[in-house]
Amino acid sequence: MFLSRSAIERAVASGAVTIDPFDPTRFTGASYVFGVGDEMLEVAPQADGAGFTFSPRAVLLEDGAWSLQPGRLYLAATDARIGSNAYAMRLVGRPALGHTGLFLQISADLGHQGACHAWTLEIIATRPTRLAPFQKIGQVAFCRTLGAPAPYAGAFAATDRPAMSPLHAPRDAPSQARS
Amino acid sequence: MILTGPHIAAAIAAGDITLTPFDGATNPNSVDIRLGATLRDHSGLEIDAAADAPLPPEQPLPAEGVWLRPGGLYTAESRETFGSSRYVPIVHGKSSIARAGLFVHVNGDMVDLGVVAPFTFQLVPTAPILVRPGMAIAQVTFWTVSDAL
Repeated sequence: MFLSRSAIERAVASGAVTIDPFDPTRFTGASYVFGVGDEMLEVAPQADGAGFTFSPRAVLLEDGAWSLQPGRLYLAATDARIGSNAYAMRLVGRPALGHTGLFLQISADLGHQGACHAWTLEIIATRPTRLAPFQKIGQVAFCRTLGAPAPYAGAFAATDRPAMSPLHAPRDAPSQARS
Repeated sequence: MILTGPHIAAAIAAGDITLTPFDGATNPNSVDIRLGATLRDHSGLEIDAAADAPLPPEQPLPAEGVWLRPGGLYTAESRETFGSSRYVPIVHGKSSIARAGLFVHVNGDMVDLGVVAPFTFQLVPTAPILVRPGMAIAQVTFWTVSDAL
């Protein structure tokens, strides 16, 4: 069961939901609209023997926007810290951006109860797409849970910047390494 | 409502959810599911969705793994067999896998109530990714329904 706009507003007021910074004009009927932060990374594969290694490359702004290209993998973060100890979350793209062929969250839409941070966004453009920092890009819904909660102790819980996959960490570095 | 990890474990113990093998580990709102031991490579095929075309052969996944290539399409079954007549399972990507650019399903995230079976992953890589048998590649949540099946 998803929280309505008024229930999310009450949960923010009571502290059951954290949205920081919070903009009370950014609601849909049952979700809060977030923007993309001001950092965009491209995850660039390099052939390495029979396999690949990966390194992040900052995407630079051109006339105030990033130019996203098809066939590349981009990581950004939400422009707000979002989380809740009481509710599970679902993060999805805004329909208006979906209409332009932009995939957000590569089948990973679930936000665990107990996590609170700026969420890493996985972005795929099916067409060349310009995107500006702080542009509205997605929405988060909050869902009631059944059962006793378990504390979240995920490796990504503490980071507010775009986080590389631990699968892409250099083999001789800790799994959470990020350049 | 979505079940918490402790409630999923209790529902498995009570027989309201079937999930096997299960080692007892849960996430706050899900259980990880793992890649099985075989893979079908649909890459480069012209797919006739209107016909009952044969699937490409199942290939064993070697322990050292296989690199999936962008532009390809692969299917593979989960190691786990799971389902429930009481809660609806929904399969989601994991953040570590999503950040490596791998879609684990295409439109097909919801499992029918009452079906107990392995899940067929629809693997669409947007960057090269090394997959190994038994790797935690996705997670499943369980959701309440309004009435009995």
